[in-house]
Amino acid sequence: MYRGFTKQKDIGYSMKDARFLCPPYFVIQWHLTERCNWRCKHCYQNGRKVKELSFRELKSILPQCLELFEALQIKPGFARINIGGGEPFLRNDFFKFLSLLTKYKRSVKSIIMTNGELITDAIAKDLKKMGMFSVQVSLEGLRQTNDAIRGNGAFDTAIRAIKLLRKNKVITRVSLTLTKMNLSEVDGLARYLKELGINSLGIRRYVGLGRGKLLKESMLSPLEQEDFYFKKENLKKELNEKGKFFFSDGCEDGISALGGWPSERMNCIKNCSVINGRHLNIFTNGDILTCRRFPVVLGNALKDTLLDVHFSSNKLWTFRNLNNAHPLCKKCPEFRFCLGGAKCVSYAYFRNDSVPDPQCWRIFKKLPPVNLFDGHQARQNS
Amino acid sequence: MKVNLLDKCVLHNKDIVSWRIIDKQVIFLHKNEKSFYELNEVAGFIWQKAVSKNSIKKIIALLSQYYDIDRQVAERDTLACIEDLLNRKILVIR
Repeated sequence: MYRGFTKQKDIGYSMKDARFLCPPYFVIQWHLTERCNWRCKHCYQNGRKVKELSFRELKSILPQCLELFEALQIKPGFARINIGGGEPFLRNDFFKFLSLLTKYKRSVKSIIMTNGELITDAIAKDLKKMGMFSVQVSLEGLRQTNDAIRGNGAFDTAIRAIKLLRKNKVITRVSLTLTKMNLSEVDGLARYLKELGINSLGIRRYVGLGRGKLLKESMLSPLEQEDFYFKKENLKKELNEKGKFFFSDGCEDGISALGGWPSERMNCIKNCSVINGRHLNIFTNGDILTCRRFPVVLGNALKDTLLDVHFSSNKLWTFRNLNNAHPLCKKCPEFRFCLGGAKCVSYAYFRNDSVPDPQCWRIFKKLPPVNLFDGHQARQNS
Repeated sequence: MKVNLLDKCVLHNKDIVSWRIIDKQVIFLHKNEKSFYELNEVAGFIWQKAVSKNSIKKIIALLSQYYDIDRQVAERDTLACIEDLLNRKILVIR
């Protein structure tokens, strides 16, 4: 019998796939510019110039982010807009944009991702005053290693910025992209950051996109990656006495999800945000991407809405559908925890998004040939 | 009204509605309200037949056959559903 229809708020979803309509958190990563004052070797940029949106266009897109959070019923504090680039501080209207965002500080958290070079004492003070922004500064190791990857002087520049941010009590964290070049320095860097008063180090997996392809020889083997996860746990226990330091997991760390981990560890592990339907990226030109590191174009925010793309994009639903995972993943006993690893890493490595994660040690003992799955049809990007 | 509707076809109003099947149920996004709605099983059946370009008369027959119910009951439910959705401008007459 027809009894009308029910608004989502009244349903309390128990349906499996309907979880995409009310996820526990949602992250929009918004790239404001592709311009950068550094030329880091691991960067996913490919050096092409991209037209930037005007301030007026940025302003017109912002309500879409809020509508998406509202429609998905994301609770205050669990809706996040990460601002990046390029180097976002290079935009002359950057603070004007941040001022716009501050109107929503009760419901949205925001992280600015920067190399730190343009941060001054005055800027750090302003960020503190605005009261909603935390800052993520990138470092790739200790001085010599960092500068070999990010350029001469980059380490001291970043540390200066970190000290200014700390002085002004801006919540600051550091992010590192893990390769063979800096694997041995994670321990030393973490201890150094703790001395500086930083309490969070995010270690992201290498994704061989753009200029970063040049570092492909530095990609960790699956066994090195596995070993790192276990060493990181031990280091975390050591440094996190009294809750003073933690390693934040990235959404590529789903491969570390094992049934054998204690539940407190499992609760921290994030699966691929594309598979989990908890992320969208607004690119510099307004394109809506699945993720900056898995850049499938789903629409453009000047003519499509983020909410409609999140709900309607067949590409997204294909990525979310675990039945589309590779048979090697589906037969693995850990699949229900890891969900097939990270789309960005698989796609950058194999140029195919429906194959296993090349750093999965349960499938590969060493990095497989990049053409291993050439006969396997990609679901979306062929 | 009913007599007129029976020979008509309806479809979803693409300007304000996107829809898809999630976990075997029809869910639509009301773009103006920025909300998701779920149709119950019968409404979902009617919706799917409607967007497959079946006339309302045909949908009634299909509903009656599928649920093995009296044609009058099927007609009452189908028209109630479609009129409700037409009034809300979620469906439009083709």
